[in-house]
Amino acid sequence: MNNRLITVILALAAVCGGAYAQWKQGDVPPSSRRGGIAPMAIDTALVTVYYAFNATDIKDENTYIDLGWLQVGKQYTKYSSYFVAHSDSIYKPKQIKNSNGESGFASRTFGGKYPSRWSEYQFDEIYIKDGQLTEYAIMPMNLDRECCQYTEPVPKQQWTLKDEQQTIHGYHCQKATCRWRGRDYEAWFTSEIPIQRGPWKFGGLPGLIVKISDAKKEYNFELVKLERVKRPIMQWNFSRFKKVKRENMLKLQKKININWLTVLYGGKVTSLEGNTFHDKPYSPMELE
Amino acid sequence: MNIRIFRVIFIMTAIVAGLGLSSAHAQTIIEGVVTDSLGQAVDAYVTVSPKGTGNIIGFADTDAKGHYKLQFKSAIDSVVVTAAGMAIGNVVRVVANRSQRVDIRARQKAIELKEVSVKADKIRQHGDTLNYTVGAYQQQGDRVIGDVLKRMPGIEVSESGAIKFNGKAIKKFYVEDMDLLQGRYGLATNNINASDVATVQVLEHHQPIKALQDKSLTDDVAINLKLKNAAKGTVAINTMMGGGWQQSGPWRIGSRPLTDGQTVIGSNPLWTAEVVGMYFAKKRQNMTLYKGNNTGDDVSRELTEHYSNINSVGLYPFCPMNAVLPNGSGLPQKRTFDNHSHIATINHLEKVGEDSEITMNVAYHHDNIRREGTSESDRFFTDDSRLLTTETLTSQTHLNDLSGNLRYMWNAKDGFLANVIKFDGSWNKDKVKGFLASQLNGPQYVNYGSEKTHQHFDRPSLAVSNTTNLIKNIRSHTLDLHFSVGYAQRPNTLTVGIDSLNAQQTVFNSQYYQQDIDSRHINANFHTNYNFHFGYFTLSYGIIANASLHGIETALDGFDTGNYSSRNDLWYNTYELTLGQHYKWERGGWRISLGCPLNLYTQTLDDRVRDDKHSYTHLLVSPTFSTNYVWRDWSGNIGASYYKNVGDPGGIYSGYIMNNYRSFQRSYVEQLSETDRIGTNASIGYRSALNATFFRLNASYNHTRDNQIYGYTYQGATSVVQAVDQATTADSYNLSFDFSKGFDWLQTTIRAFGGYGHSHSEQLIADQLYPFNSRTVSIGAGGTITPLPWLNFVLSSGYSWNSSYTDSGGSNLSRIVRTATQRLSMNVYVTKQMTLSAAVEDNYNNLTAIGRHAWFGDIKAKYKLGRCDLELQLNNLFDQRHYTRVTYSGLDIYTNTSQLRPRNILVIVRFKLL
Repeated sequence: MNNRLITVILALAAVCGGAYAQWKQGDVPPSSRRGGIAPMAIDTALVTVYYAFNATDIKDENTYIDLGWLQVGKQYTKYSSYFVAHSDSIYKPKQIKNSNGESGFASRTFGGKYPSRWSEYQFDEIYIKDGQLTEYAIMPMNLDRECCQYTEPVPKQQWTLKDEQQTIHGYHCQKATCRWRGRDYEAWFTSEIPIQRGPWKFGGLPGLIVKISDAKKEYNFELVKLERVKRPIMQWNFSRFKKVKRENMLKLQKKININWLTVLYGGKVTSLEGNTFHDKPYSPMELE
Repeated sequence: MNIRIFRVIFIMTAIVAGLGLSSAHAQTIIEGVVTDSLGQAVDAYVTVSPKGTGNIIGFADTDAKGHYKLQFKSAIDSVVVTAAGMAIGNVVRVVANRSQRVDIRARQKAIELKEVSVKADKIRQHGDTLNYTVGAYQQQGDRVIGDVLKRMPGIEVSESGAIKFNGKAIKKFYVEDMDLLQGRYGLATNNINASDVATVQVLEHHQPIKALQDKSLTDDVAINLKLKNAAKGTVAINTMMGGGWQQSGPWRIGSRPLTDGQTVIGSNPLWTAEVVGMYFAKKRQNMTLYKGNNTGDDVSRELTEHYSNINSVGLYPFCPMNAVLPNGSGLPQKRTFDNHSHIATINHLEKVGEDSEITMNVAYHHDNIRREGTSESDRFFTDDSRLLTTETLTSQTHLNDLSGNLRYMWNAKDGFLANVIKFDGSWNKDKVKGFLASQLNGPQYVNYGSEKTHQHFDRPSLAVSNTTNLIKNIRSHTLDLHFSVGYAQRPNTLTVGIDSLNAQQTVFNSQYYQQDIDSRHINANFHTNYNFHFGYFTLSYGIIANASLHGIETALDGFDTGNYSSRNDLWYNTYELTLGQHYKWERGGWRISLGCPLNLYTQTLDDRVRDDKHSYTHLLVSPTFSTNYVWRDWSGNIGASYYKNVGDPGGIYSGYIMNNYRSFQRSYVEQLSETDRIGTNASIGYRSALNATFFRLNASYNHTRDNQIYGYTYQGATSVVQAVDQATTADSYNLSFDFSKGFDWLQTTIRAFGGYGHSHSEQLIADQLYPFNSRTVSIGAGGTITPLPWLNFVLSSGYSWNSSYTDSGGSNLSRIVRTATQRLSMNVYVTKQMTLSAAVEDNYNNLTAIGRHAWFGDIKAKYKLGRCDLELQLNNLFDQRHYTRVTYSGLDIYTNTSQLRPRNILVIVRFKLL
């Protein structure tokens, strides 16, 4: 009961906090826990690529929804959130620093424009090995029991290469387009970096994806940093995560974004003042 | 037949064309294997592109055996086949465009990557907003945001804490878009941690009233601090404690009694302390703090109101008297004040709705300041004689000041409403002991002797006001209603004891001069404005009603006022009714405005001592004109104005008032004072965020004509001032520039500024009129540079020079005064935790008889220990005990020597409680 009261208060606070967000509009509080006791090193990243996710100003980290973190190792490729990784006190107890090098003892927030809200595109972790992709879905606070995972062959986008070229951050890039899981995408890749990956689950082009966005401009990623520093790729113990079908994971995440309290309590929730928490429209990246 | 032939030709042409086309786009298949130098398959992919274009037209992955198969269509002769992978990099083969087998053997090679990082620009521009990234300007020793603001090109923070952007004083200061501090932004700049601020935003052409945005452009500049997310919604409490010792001076806690002569400034032990609490959230902001010290630090500076948020009526109860205090040396108070200061303030802002907020600010300042100094004045008496006085003073000032304001504001797209209640009460007093010697040099030498003086000035004051402002959009037009009313009172007394009075005791039956003034001011102002918007034109009409009532009661005891009264009891009231008219045309970057208010001005005087009642009514016209033009990074403006001022409370009292123990004044002349002023100004500015360059050039001319002049006569060292019915004019010309530029190279910022001023006026001394000319030239430059980034070594230096001289008719009194201040400071970042700072300062004055250069040195060491900051200060390293400053007004020379705080050491601990 107490738990429920706290959650309702939290939800109220989030609602009072303003509902003008284009992203993380569901005002869902972030996850409180990660899997396991301590993460394990599974590979060594040779190249690390940082992507600004839905930034309004690429030069201002505070306008990002997330700072995506693509680590490419010999066997594993991992896509996760740099903001989440570096605000995790368990993971790096002494170094709660963001990329500006500021340290803070402050309460746990996750950087970017809405640092204290959850989004699957920030909290989920994607691991690719031997042609298989596994996505671990870390669910928001109080929905910890819903954490799940699924595995599929690495999705191959059917790319059409275009003649257009441009230089982005000093790299010669070529345009390619595709339709994937219900959305049309336009990507810019560079053959100068022989890595066939990109942010999220995108890849399969003859070179690294530097920039990608969907036609409706609802989702976009842009490379903001690339470094060659050998560092371990860490993985939490996700064994407790339920194995589910991809479609079911998507459905659940969509429901949480629309109205996470109904997921939590199995029906419409009314606050102590009698306000009902209404659904909010949500359009996920993967529509199919 | 012909048709058949044509048909055959057509068919054959089509076949040939078809063949040709199909051969041009025939599919090419290139396949093969990609292996390493040992013949083992490698994880790679293969691309193909027409030679010379770089555009990939096809690609394929290798399979487990390293096999690949490329299929593509291209008319080009040869193509580039590239095998690429993490382990092999890019291996390139140029082959003919035909189906074939191309095996590629690649050497193991780590890929070469150029690392990239999209760095935030130091300054970014979005329309009228400039965003300065704090991290780009912050250096290791910087603790609060004020330290970083000083480094930002285009932004200038003066000694008083006032901020200017490209030469213009800022009109608003926000934290997270909210005006918590209502003008006292020194509290923010001196207390918000630099590491909590993400961006400093400079908002140009800022219109704070939402209902007027898109309707009325302004030239105002505002600053907004964007905090980092971690600093939002959390309570932060910072504390500081420190103690120390100075080289000499008594051991004493609390204030010291006044003593004659020269004693050391400051007393042991030295202490300093502060507690600062801050909370910045979306709907609530709070800043509460206490600061205190006896180290000379002027903490009350943080309470300075740099702007008034809403135009409340001005309240100036008339009180033309003061105690003569040791004259300031121009040095920072830290070096000259023997103080016990305490300030406490509570500032709270609460958003009560989407567009409305309530703000409360309360501030209390208590101080006990002891100062010592000697002043010598060499004043013009007649063409061939000069009056010399030497005055040694020890003063003690007790300050108690409590002020508060409560403000409600509703600021929405369709309207604006604000109400502000202000309160300001103070109960201050000065006690001064002194020693005065004076003589007249010249053909008729007179020694007036020397005497001891005592001054006691009780100066409590009280002011309250209420102001309401309502702005409403009615269709495309705007109605503005503004009402403000206030009351202020000063019941003040100045008591002066002079040795020689004892001798005159029998004549005036008093040992003291005593001046009582009970002054009241009631001021009410109402104005309403209606703006019509027609395309590019805005027509603004308004009615302004103003009533200002001054009640002045004075009584002077102990001074021989001759035929004139020693009392005043009068009400001096002015009533103004103004029809305001203002026309504005705005298009593109242009803004042209013309104002021409017509003012019906009535003044009444009820002098109860002289039993004189009369009133005057005038029609005053005060036209103004201005043109502004903005083109890309450039802006320019030209303006001109004329106004006429009739009467002022300083010119209506017929009985004598003691200004101070050496000056007595009566100001009444039959005719009302009239002042005409014409002013013109022009400026041109450039600011470019892209190359961090800021420049502004200002020029102005003012002409003033008065129908009265104040004339001086001397009775011994005492001056008697009277207004005289005689017209006088004054002209002044000013030209100034300010330039600053930031470079990425070695984190360098340079700044240069300068000015030229020329003025001409007249002075009436002993019934003789003297023309008075003065020219001033000043230039300055400064900069910061970090020559060794790995050592984190910072150097900054500033230089300024000015000269002034005066021509006087008849005698040659022209003198040149050169003053220079140079300051060199150096920060050495020994480790990430330790910062050493050293500063050396030279103050030069060419008129000072001895010690033209006064050197000061200070050393500071900061050490970061977890959440604690330790600081060690060594102040006044060269142990300067006196500082002399000479000023020259054209006719008179003043030499002021201040006692300084001796060499001292302070240890300070700062830590973050929350």
